Amino acid sequence: MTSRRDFLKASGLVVMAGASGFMGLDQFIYAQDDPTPVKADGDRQKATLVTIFLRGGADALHVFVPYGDPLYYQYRKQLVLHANAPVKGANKGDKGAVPIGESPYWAINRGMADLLPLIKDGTCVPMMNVGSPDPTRSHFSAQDYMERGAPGQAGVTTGWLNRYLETTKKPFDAPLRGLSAKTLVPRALRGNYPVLAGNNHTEEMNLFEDLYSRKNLVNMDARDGGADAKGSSLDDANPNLTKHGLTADMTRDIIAASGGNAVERIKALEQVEGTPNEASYPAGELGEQLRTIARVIKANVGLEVAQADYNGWDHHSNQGGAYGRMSQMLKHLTDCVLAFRQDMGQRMDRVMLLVMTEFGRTVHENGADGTDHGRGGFMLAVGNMLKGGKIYGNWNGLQDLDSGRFQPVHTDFRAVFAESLAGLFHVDPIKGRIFPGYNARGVLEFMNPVKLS
Amino acid sequence: MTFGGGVLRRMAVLLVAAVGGFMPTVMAFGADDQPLPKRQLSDEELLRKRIAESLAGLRDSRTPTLQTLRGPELSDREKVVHVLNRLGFGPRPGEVDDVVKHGGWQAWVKLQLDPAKIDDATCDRVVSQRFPWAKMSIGELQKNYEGDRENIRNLRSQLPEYVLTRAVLSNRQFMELMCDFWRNHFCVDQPDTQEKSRSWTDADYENQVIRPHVFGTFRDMLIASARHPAMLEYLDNKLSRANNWNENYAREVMELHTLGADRGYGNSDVVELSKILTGWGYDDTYQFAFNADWHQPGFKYWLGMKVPAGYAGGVEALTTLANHPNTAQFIAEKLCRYLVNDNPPPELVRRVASVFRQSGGDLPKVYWAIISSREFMGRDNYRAKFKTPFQFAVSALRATGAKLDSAAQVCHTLEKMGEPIYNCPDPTGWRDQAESWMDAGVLTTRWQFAWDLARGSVDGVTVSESFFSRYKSDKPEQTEQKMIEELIGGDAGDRELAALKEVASNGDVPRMTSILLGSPSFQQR
Repeated sequence: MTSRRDFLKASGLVVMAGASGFMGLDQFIYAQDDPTPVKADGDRQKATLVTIFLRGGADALHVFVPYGDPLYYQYRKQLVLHANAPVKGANKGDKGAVPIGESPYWAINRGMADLLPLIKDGTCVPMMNVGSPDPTRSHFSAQDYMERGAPGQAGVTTGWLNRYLETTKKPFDAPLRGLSAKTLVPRALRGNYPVLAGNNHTEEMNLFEDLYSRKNLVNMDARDGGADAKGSSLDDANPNLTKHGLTADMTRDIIAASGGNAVERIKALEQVEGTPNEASYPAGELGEQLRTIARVIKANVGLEVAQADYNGWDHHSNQGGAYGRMSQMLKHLTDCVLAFRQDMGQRMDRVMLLVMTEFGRTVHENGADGTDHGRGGFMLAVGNMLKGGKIYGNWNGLQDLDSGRFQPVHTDFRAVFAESLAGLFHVDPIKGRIFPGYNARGVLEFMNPVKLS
Repeated sequence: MTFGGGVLRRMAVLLVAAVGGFMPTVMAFGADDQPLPKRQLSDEELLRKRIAESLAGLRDSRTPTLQTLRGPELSDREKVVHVLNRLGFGPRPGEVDDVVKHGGWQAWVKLQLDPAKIDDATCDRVVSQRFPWAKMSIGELQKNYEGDRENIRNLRSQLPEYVLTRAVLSNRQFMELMCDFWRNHFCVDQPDTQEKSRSWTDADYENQVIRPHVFGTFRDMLIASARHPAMLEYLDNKLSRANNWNENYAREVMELHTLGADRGYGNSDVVELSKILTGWGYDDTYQFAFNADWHQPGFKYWLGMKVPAGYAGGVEALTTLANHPNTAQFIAEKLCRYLVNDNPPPELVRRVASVFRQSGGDLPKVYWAIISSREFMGRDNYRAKFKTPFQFAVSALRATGAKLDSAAQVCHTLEKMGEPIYNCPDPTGWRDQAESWMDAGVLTTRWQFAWDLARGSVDGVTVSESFFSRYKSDKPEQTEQKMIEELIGGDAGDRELAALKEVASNGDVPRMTSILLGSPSFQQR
């Protein structure tokens, strides 16, 4: 077991595991004293959904630019991105945006121009006027609602990606079906199903690994010494004698199992450490997260859902024009996406990237080189299974506004989530009640079902 | 307590699909009288089943009404450990011995229920030095903070530090613990913008709405919260006006503060209560003001009552809510969950609710009904709660007798653990059940905090040499035993023992400290 400890010290990867982490206890079988996992799950050629969450509410109109809409030039003066449009107000000089194909209406931020070939060959799909049916414009609530996949429903506290894992779990799941490459498990991946989170803790984790290792968990009799005397019923062979409430023993075992899950998933990740990346990722957190996720995918250990985060999109000011802050961030996002795609190679047949943000922004710029919180926004999907060639979502021009200020929401983000799960994993998220209270099917139909070998 | 065989059999065939939260579907695997499958369940299957059953318990009408209290009575020492952990944020070094020596748990509890009698000069001194705003009236706060972005930033980081510092230093532990409860019950957040006045009125809310009412009546706290600018803004009631009422506060005050979700009110009651409370707001000096011009005229028909127009109608409505039997039930249940068990015995909840009703929501009487119950001291509920991140951090600082020069980094760690003080994203407040916290990855952050604390790398916090030398001994077993006794109440499992063994032989007390603070046992209270 020394290799495991070395890994813990070296890798900086730690795990967050679910409360009912013990649901995953049997999911992975280890041969005695042999760290090599024996998988009961034969199908390792899994499809994978990788979400990238742009936190802060990225301005959709700065991403996909309706450069053929004369209204655009009324709403945007400081922030305007020109693309040689033959309309009033447009400027032939500085090209802040590049037309998408032959479109006289749509252009893309110049920072994202490298996505144009993908949009053209149909493997990159933009979506507009997507968002939450709940009108909140608080970052906290909007992100939570989106990640829970349950807008306006305070009672739903688990994430939609976690609910997918939970409803499809089998007795012998692969240990790394879900992954977050951030320090904390993001809301979308939180819930009952144990999910791994990357982390930069390196020191002394072996101390805690000893405390939580599974070996001690099975050894329940010895655990408390006088278990009987304390009235513990865990070693009681008769399952009839159930009690009311959580006892100390139960609480402790939940805690221990949660930590144990963490340790076990670290062991699984150890296998992945040596997997090489075949692309050079831009320096920075997003590239680092995607690199980790790519490695796990390439190791074929059954990763199905993963999330990466990219912070800093709340551009009330300093949004900038063609060469401004947001355009630079979009360039960075694009470089990271393309590195990931190159790293994946043919795997993009069964791997889909889904870029999202909690809301769009005001259509009017705010006079402080920025935009304020809005409603409808954009999403962007990348993968070989997509039915590209157009911009998805219901778009009626810039005269179609919500409250006179915001892009409207014409497509519930849950439509995109549900279709992604259905297309990638051949499940019926509506029947599986992954999105409580949501029943629509086939709203956008932006992808073909993934074929698995 | 025994119950019929039929009940037992039915209980045994319950299996729950999802533990906690999403879709608590209870599936029966067989008809009532079908015999159980013969196969021996493994320990893990059994454990899983037990927990699923117990978490589903409340929702199942067939649940036995009495908690079966099993096991021997807690020893006097265990009772002391229990009250220090449950009615406070855990013992300081040597505190368990002190309490045992000076009257035991009863004497400690009696004093804690009468906080004015507890000398808290040290805490008060530190707090007034570090947080001068804590003594300001709302007018003074307004003068110093309104519209001042930078100053508000400071206040916004200091309010959580104030809360945490008090919880760590105060001798009035039960008072601080109940502040945690009520702060979450009457939750407001503190946004990072000068546009929202609660970015600074929250400081007054903490000191005028929460703290003074923890030992008062429920009604007074409810009305104080309803009238305070922070709440009036947070749940939009200040925007609510005649013919353009806002339902946010009316809905939440029934759902979250009083009756409980869907307990005895309907949508028309939400609308009517909104009308009843129109015109409640505050003036330019942030004093509560009833604006008659904004008030919806006429009688309102609400919860089967005819409520007259005017400010008095609003007070009548809130008083009705405070005295409503469903409120008694809802608050009793929440308090029992907080103080006794994530899934509190329904029989206890009923008794406590009846004390709530009969005493007119006199909170000390309600607390005492819980504390004096046999369930509270039952073996089954001993160390049965999982510490929230806040409880964990405060208890670790207390257990190590840490010197707290600044709580800033600890508060930052709480953010990483998912529980930033005064920043719950939902008006529900932070939940206190284990199932809400175990998934947030808090364990690994707790491990890191335990290690950082013991080796002195939490900024502003020092664990003194005298703490470590307290446990130094020539005999590793003695060191180990004393640390287990004081840090985790003597409740070491073989995990803790195995992990400690190696380190103990080197006499490395800081490492042993971090192991114990990161152990499963220390996460329990």
